[in-house]
Amino acid sequence: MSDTLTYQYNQLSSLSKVNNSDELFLAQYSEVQKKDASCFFWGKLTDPYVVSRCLLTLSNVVKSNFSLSPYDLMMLKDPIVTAGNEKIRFEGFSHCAGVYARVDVLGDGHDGEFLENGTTNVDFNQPMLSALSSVRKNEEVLLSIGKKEVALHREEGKVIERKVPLPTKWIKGLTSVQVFLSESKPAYKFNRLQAIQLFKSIPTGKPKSDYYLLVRGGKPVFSPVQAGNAITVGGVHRLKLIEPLLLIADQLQVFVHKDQQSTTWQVYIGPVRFSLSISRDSWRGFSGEGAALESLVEDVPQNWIELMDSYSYANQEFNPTLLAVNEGLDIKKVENLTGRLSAIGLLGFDLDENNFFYRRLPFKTSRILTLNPRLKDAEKLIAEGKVLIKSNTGNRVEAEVEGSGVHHMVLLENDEERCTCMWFSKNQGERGICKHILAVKKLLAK
Amino acid sequence: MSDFVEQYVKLLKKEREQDLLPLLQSLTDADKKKFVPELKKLDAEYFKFGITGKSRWGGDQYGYLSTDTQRRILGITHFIVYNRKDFERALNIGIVQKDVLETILPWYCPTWFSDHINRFAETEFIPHFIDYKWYMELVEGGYVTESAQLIGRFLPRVIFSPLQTGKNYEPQLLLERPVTLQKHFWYVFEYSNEIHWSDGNEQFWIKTILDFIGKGLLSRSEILNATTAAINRNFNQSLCGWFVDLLIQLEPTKPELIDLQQDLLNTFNSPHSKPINAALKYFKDIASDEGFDEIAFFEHCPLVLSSESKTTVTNTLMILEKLAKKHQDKRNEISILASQALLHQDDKLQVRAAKLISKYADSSSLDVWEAVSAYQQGLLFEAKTILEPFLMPEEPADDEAANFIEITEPAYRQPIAFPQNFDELVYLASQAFDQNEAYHFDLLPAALLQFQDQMSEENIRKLLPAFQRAFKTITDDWVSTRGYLDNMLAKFLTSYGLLLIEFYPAAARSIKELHNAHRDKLKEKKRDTKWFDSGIKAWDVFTHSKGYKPHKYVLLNALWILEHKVQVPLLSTPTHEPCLVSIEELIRRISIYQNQRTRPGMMDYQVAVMRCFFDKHTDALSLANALLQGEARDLIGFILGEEHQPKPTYQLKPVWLAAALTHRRDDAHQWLQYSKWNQAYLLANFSWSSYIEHYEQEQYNYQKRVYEKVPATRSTVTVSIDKTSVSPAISGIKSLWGKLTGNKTPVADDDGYFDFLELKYKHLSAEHNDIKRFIYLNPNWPEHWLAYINKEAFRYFDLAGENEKRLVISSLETLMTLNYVYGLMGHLFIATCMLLNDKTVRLYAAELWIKGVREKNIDSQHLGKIIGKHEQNGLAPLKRFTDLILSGMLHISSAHDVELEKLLAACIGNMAEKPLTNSKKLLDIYVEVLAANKQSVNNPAVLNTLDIWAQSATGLTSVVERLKQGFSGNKQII
Repeated sequence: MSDTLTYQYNQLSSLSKVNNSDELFLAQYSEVQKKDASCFFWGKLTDPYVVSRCLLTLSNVVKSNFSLSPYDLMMLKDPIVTAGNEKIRFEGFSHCAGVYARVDVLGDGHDGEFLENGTTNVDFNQPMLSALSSVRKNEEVLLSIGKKEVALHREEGKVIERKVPLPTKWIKGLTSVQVFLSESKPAYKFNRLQAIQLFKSIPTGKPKSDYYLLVRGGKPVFSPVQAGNAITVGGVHRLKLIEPLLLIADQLQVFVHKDQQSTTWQVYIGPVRFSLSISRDSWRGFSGEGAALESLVEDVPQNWIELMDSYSYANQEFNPTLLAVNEGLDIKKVENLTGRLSAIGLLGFDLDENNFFYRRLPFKTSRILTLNPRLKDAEKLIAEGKVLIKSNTGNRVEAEVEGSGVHHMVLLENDEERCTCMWFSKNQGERGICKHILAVKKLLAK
Repeated sequence: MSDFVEQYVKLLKKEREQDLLPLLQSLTDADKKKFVPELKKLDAEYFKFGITGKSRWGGDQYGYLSTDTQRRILGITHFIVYNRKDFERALNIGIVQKDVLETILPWYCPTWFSDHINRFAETEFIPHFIDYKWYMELVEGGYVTESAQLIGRFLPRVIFSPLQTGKNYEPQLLLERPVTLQKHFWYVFEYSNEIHWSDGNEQFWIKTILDFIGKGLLSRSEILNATTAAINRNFNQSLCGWFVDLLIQLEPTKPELIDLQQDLLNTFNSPHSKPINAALKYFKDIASDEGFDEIAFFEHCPLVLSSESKTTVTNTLMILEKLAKKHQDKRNEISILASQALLHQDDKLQVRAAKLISKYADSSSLDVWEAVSAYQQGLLFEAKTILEPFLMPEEPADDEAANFIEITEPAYRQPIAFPQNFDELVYLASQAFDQNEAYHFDLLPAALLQFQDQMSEENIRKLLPAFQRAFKTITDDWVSTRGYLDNMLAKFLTSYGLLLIEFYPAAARSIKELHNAHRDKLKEKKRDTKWFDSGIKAWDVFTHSKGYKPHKYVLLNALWILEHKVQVPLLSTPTHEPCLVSIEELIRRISIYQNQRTRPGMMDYQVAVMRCFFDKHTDALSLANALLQGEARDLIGFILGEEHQPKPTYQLKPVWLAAALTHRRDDAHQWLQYSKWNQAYLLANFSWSSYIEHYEQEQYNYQKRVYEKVPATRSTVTVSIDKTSVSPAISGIKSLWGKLTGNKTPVADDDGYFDFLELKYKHLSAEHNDIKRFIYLNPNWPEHWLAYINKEAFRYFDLAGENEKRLVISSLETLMTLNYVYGLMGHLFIATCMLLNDKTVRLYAAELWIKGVREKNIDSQHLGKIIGKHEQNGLAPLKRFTDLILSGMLHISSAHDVELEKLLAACIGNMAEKPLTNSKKLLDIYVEVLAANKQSVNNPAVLNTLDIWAQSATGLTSVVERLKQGFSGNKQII
């Protein structure tokens, strides 16, 4: 049995009537922030109906599973919320870690105070979700993330514990999906009508073949045929998760990863944005893709993480140069910082603004760092002296790495890397570099 | 403590249950803690499972090695001694029961007891021994804190008193405690529960609620409010449906509905259709009444107008129409809303929406005009006619190119990169068995030939990972993505490895070690090594399908060259995507053989010729003139269009045949003598039929307990591949004489590609992973392969398994990369795919038609005929075809609409006299296409069928009338 993560909530989340208006209270828990329950946000929602619909869709994402997985993974994982910089963001993953969803409630979407900045788990329980679905248009709803009057609920003096198997894939997915997002570019914008039409062309069932998004005669369609400029969408049925939102959407924007390894579907509904990112295929989770591996070739010094914590606040745009200048760090070293920091769960990516923002995942950094088996394997290869650099002419490095029974040939040449191992041969670098290339790169970086 | 343990163990052994409680009462909290480890030891001893005796049938009987009483004593002790975690982990069935706990709770209640009971609020099942009555006693006794969620789940059972068998309906039980109706009853409306099961067909609960309202025990308005709120609580379909039933049975009056309208509007968000349709029915009743909030209704309309359910959309349109009648000032707004129903590709819905708009909207309103014209492209003919004043005048859409601006096919004829140095060979070799590209199969042997003189120790070391993968491929378990060809290629590489060991024993020592290691592993697993030791020459598939021979012969040819260290290339290695060989390169390759006075392998030669393509005849001819002599020069000239006749001196007979059948089919007759097979086979002119087959199915008869044969039917497509030898049979003596004297028979059937064509399997195992490479043997004319796919995959028409689907999809994918004029088998394949039971397959087939029309290599009429025949024979529901046209074939471009018209005419002309279900839809589409093309029906066969249909089905009269009127215009069907 794997490690266990225990959510400790002081109270359950609920939607209740208080003085003729509804109050949506979200209980929060973080294993990194101080245990004293604090309140992140307290205030009115401008369009509570839309937010409720988005949160329900998010709960459907975290409940969904598109690949076979053992029973213990089927337990509901709570989404995490980041409050700060006039934005509230809820994010979560499907069990299979192949679908990532985020609800961004932007500045105009709320009218309240951010009492504290930060990221935390929030309790999503079934009665609260049932109640959420009855929120009507033009209703008044107060949102509170964490309890404002701490003393009040302390009187109950009870902690609600929910234990779930440590969602390794989940946390890993949360870190690597940001890399995918940062490498994505906008591809299409559709109005509500086009979006509904497009989703009508999603075949029923769970098609195993890839589908391709293309615009034919001004009309977007999913076709099983790969056309030149079409966007590859594997496991297209997963998109059905956001179908109900399209009915109230203003616009749908599609972003595509530079190597077509993921697509992000962003639904705009007034001041709320819902984005759904799906991996290359329904059996592939973002967690296993190793997109963040290259960023981890160089270690992140602990003092930088501390600096980040003191320097940044939640949802703030991350500017590595500014950090370097202000804190007197070596600019060259900071250049690659974004990738590394998102890989250890300190940054998220905003596609619309095209920048990283600070948000520290509510899990221990040490925990996140242990989640990269390929990285650990690479370190082991170096430690055991199994990596031999045969030649290094600057833009061409030839190395030999001992594998099981044979020596693999690693070649790094003009930004292109190759290895003779099975992982690389099969995926040709599309799913992150193999442990052999990683080991060579790590050795060169030392 | 030791005294206590001693006493306890004695008590347990002697099963003195009556003395247990007094003994446990003597324990303090500290004692309990100390006793825990001892108790765990006793648990381990008394809950042991083992043989308890002999069963009735003589075998061993298993069970607990302790008595029921002993385990009960332990269970009660657990309750008193353990903490919650230990208690829930321990086996103590039957302890948390009323009769047991009644004796304990008055003097001891664990702190965790309340949480332990309340956890059932979230478990899937609630144990039968906990019921509302006992739970309330526990709450009233102060042992348990009340959980609303759990009560919500208990309560549905409360109106039944349990009987020995079944249950007794006693609604008065609800009145036992005042709190039940005042508070607890309402939890049923708030938390997910199973009241729909408790209600049963007799509707006990609905009856009770109505009765209680009648008696004034429940407030009607509160029940109505709670019911509509419950419908909105995102409950599962059955529970939500039950609340809808309750609402319907409550028969809300109009004023009540006006009060409930906000909640009813919220049901539009429901993922289920039942509450939506119920709400719409109510809105229909109150739409014209005072107090109806039409503004809120308008706001929620988009949620229902795009519904998949036709009833929902129709009902919404009906309400909008009522509102339009009433609110003159809001007619434009209503029309804009109604325009959203135009999204549906359904004639009736579109016409209803269109009529509403044309009746009520102001045609000069820019907003309405904008809203309606957004749907212009998807409008069906009748709706379009009605909405004409609101639409932009259509421009003649003759510019076909404009329709394809945004779609380009994958690169066709892109040059394939050949490894330029040994390192590139290394990376090619290590991925050659992954099928990253189909042509890697061809590239690997070709690259090995190219770099055969660079096999130094260091280079061999670099190739070791590839050799390791080859050994693994042939010894490890089968992988679902692997084809037999991958296995064949791995065998080829290991065979070459053995050759290297022979040539360079020292340098290739590492291969030898790898070989031995894998051999030893097989021996360890006690598996036969005979097959492992044999080379590629002995390779075969278990089906003995000849279809694998062409690939094998090419590899054998490569191994022969490596064995003899000859510096020649393979002829058939593709130079351009997807698997083509440029004729210039082919000429150069042949010239190398001529210069070295070596004969190319016959299969290699044939495949090369079948794969070759050319753009500029004259350049290729002058190159051939410069580099080639003799028969090879003639052959290239023939491919390029020169006139040549069979000559007795020609040695390359199978190659000439392949060239003639692939590139010069019109002049092929004189070359057919180079094969022993009949003309129909060589030209792939196979007959086919589709029908419903009657057969006998084995079915188990449960009464008689035997398998019986019962008559059954299944759809089938049969293709008769008539392959007969037309050359006179050569007697045994003659053939032996021929072999002895070295005289070959005039027919060179030994090495012919057309001798080996075959797709043979009983159950698909890995052939679906090979089909692409089979088709790529002859990308310019793969008709034979398609014939075999038609024959094998569509034997029972619909695709049964995932592998069958994969085979067909792979074939479709492959055809998508080709550019050849489809023959009889190609058309049968595409037409059949359009009707199969998989949407991806159908969409793919439609895409092939779109591509075929654009490239002018498909005959739509031919497709239509086949589809008509299949439909006539009852192979597939017509809806599959009509849905396919609507989703992927209609209005692609004007050229496509012209072709679609031909296809539909041929289809209808070939259909039965009795119209099938959905014929109306097919005719609606035909109207659409004719209108777009401005044409009339002028084919007598089609007119005849239409007349017969109109007479036999009244529903078709109007559409047939419309068809016969035709559409005037200046376009002509070509």
